Amino acid sequence: MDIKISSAQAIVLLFVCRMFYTVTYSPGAEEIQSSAIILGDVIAVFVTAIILIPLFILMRKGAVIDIIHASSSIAPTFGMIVSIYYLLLLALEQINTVTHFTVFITNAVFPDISAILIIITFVLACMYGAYQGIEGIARAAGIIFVIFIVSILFIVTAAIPNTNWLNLRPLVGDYQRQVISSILDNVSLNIEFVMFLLLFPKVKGSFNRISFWYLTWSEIALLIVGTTTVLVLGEYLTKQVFPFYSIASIIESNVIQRLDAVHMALWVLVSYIKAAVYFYLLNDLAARLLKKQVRKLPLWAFAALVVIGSYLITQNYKSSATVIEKVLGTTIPMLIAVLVIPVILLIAGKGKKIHHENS
Amino acid sequence: MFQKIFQYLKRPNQSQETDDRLEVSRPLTDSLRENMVNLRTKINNSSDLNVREITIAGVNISLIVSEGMVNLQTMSEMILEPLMDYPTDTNTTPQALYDYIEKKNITAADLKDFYTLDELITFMTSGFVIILIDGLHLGIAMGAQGFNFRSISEPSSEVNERGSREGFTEPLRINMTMVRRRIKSSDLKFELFSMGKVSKTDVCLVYLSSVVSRKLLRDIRHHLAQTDLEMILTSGYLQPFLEGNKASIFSDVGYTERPDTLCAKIQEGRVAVMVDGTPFVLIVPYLFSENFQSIDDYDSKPYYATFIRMIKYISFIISILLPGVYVAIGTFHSELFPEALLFNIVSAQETTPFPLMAEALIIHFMYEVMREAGLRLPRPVGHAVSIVGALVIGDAAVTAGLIGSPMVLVVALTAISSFVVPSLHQPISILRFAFIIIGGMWGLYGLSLASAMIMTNACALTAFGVPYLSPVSPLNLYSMRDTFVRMGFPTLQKHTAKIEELNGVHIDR
Repeated sequence: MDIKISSAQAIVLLFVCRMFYTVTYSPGAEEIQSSAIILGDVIAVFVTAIILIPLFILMRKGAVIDIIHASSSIAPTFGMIVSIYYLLLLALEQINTVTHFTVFITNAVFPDISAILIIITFVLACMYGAYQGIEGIARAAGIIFVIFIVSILFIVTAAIPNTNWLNLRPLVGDYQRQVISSILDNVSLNIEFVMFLLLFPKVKGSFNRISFWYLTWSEIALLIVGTTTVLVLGEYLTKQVFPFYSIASIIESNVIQRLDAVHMALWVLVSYIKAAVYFYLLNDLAARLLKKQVRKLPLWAFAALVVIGSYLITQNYKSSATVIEKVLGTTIPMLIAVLVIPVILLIAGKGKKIHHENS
Repeated sequence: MFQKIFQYLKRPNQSQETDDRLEVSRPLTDSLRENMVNLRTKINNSSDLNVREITIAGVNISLIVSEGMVNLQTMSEMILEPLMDYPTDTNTTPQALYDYIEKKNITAADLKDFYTLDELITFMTSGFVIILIDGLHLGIAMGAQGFNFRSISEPSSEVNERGSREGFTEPLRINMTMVRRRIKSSDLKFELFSMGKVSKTDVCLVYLSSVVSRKLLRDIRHHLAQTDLEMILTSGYLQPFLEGNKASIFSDVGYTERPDTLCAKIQEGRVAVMVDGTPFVLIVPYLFSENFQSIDDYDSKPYYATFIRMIKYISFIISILLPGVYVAIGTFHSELFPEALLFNIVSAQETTPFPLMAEALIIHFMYEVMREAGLRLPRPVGHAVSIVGALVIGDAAVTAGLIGSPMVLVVALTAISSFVVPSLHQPISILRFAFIIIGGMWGLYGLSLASAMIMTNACALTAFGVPYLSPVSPLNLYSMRDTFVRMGFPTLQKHTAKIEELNGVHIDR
C-alpha cells in the first residue's frame, strides 16, 4: 500500500473534518441546561474511546490493518458486504454534509440563491479536491488548520465582552437526559473514525496515537466553541439554527463590522476539506469493488448521487433531513462500522494474522 | 481498420528518416574533396561557411570556420602562424602533419578530434576552427570562439541592494565560469549536452555532486531526454518538461538571472539547467516559499529580512484577493464594512454606471493592457504609456464617472503589491481576474471555495517528489527558520537544509 500522509497530517485532517460540526455547534435540545451539555461533551470523549477499544486492539501497535482487506480474507462475501456498508455510510454522510452546508449557506448567507446552484458548485469544487489526491487535501488541511485556529481564537476573543457567566446554570432537575442526549450527539458526530479507518492504509503512523490526539484536540475545540456559545447565548441557544454563527454576527471588531463572514469563510474551508476527503474515499472504495474498465466512473456517479440526494433533502429539509440525521444520530450506523465489524475481525483472529506493510 | 490506416499514414516516412540519420552520422573519409562536397551538401552551401584551402609540404588541408564565430586574431596567432612555420622543404605525410598540429606546435587550449560530419558541423557552429587533412579520415577542432555577445551586466529582473551586480548573460560558457568563480569546490559539476534536433542548443546541468540526490538527477535527465523539440531558444522551452503538474497554475520550476542565487540553490541540493543563449537559468525543484526570498535577505539584519518577507507574503495575498474581496463585500456583504467606509463607498458607487464587478474587470483589463504595452515598447515610449495610463485610470476615468475612486485605490494597491513578488506575476494576474468574477457572482462563499481549490492545487503540486508548499505544508519546523522568518547566520550555518530533508519528500540519495 502506498503511504501518502504522515500521522501529523492525519490528525490535522481528522480535526478539520470534525470541525465541520463543531463550528455549527448546536445542542439540539428544546430545553437547555448548559452545564449538562458541556458535561455531556466531555463524557462523550470517554464513551467514544470505550467504544473504540476493540478497534484499538485490532489496530494495536505494529499491526496495521486494511479493514476491507481483512474482511475479505475472512470471506470474500463478507468483504464485499463490509465494503458496501462503508460505501453506503460514507455516501449518506456525504449527502448529509452537503445538505447541512447548503442549508447553512441558503439560510444564513444567501437567502435568495437557489440551493441547486450552491450544491453543484460545492460538489464540483470538492470533486476537484478529491481529484487532486489525498496528499494535496491533507496538505491543504494543514494550512486550513492554522487559519481555523487563528480565526476561532479571534472570534472567541472578540466574544468575551458578550459572555455572561450566569448562563452557565448548575446541574439541577432532569439533567441526566440532557447529558445522555449530548453524549449520543457527540459520539455520532465522531463518524470521522469511519473515514479514518478507510484512510488508514495510506497513513504512516499508529492508529491509536493518531486517534488519541484527534480526540484530544477535537474535544478542546468543542469545549471552547461550546462554552463560548453557551456563555454568550444562554437561553437563546435553542432558538438559533447555527448558534456559533449567530455569535459571530453580533460581535464586532474595529476593522470588520461583523465577524459572520469570517465564520462563513471558515466553514466553507472545513466543509470543502471534509467533502473532498469523502469523495476521495468513496471513489477509492468503489474502485476496489469495480473492474478496471469502469474505475473512472464512480466519482461522477457519486457526485450525481450527492447532488440529487442533497437537493431533494434541502427542498424538504424539515422532514427529510431529520430522518437522515436521526439515522446517523442514533450512533448505530457508526457503531456497526467502528465496533461491530472490528469485533468480528477480532473474533476471527484477523488482528493477529493480517499485518500489512505500512508502519 | 480505418484507425490503423490513419495511424499508418500519420507515421513519418521511415526510409527518409533512416536516410537522414545515416547522413547525420556519416563518417569522414580519407578524401578531403569528398569531405568538402559532403559538408557543402549537408549545409546546403550556406553563406556563412568559410573555407580556406591550403597546401603544406604537399599535403592539402582545409581550414573551415563559420563566419563571425571565431576570433580572427586568435586563429591567426594560434593556428595559422604555427602552420606556416611547418618545414616545407620536404614532402610530408598527412599523419606527420596531424602529429605536428596535435602534439607539437598548435597552442589552442581546446583541441578535439572528431570522425563524423555531424560533429564537424556542431564544432563549426560552436565557434571552433576545423582542420581537415587530405588522407586522414578524421578532423581536428580547435576552440577559437570570438563571436560578439552582450557583456555581463546587472540582472534586470532581480535587482538587489548590496549583492553582486553580475547577472548571467547569453553564452553558456560565460555563465559556467560565473558559477565556477563562486564555487571552487571539486564537487561542482557541469554536465554539458546538446538538445534540439535542429538548433542543437548546448544545455548544461549544474549541481554539487556531494549534496544532490542521485534520484533527482536521474529523473531530471530522464525528463530532458523525453523532450523532442526541434528548436530550444530559451530555457522556457524546457520548463514544461520539468514541471510536476502541467495543469497547475503554479510552476515548480524556478529561474534566476543571478549566479549567487544559483550557487545558494545548488548548495541545498537542487539542480540548475543552463541553456545556451539565455540568461535565465532554471532551478529544479523550486518551492513556493522561494518566490519570497531574495539575495538581499541575507545582507540585511534578520529582523529586517523577516519584516520584508512578511510584507511580501501580505502583498501576495493582497494582489490576488483584494479586488475580489472588495467586489464580493461591496456586492453581497456590505454590512461588513464599518459604517463610515460604507458611506464613502456607496456615495462613490452612486456616480458610476457599472456594477462593482464590471468596474473591477474593466480597470484591471486596462491596467494589464498598459502594463503589457509599457513592457514591450522601447523604454522612453513605455514611460509615456505609463504616464498616460496613470492619468487615464487615476483621473479621467473617475472624472468621467466610469469608475469610483475607491476602486482606483484598490487597483493601485493591487498593482503595486503584485510588483513585490515578480516571479509569481503570471498566476497572480490570472487569479486576480478569476477572483473578481467569482467574488462578483458568489460573494465570499465563492471566494472561500475558490481559495480552497487553489490551495489544494498548490498543495498537490510535487516537483520530483518535493511538495511545492514545503516546508509550510507538510510542515518542517527546522526549515521554517528561513521561510517566513530569516534567522541569523549563526543559526543557519549549523546545518544547511537540503531539499531532500523536507517532510513529505519522496526522493533519496
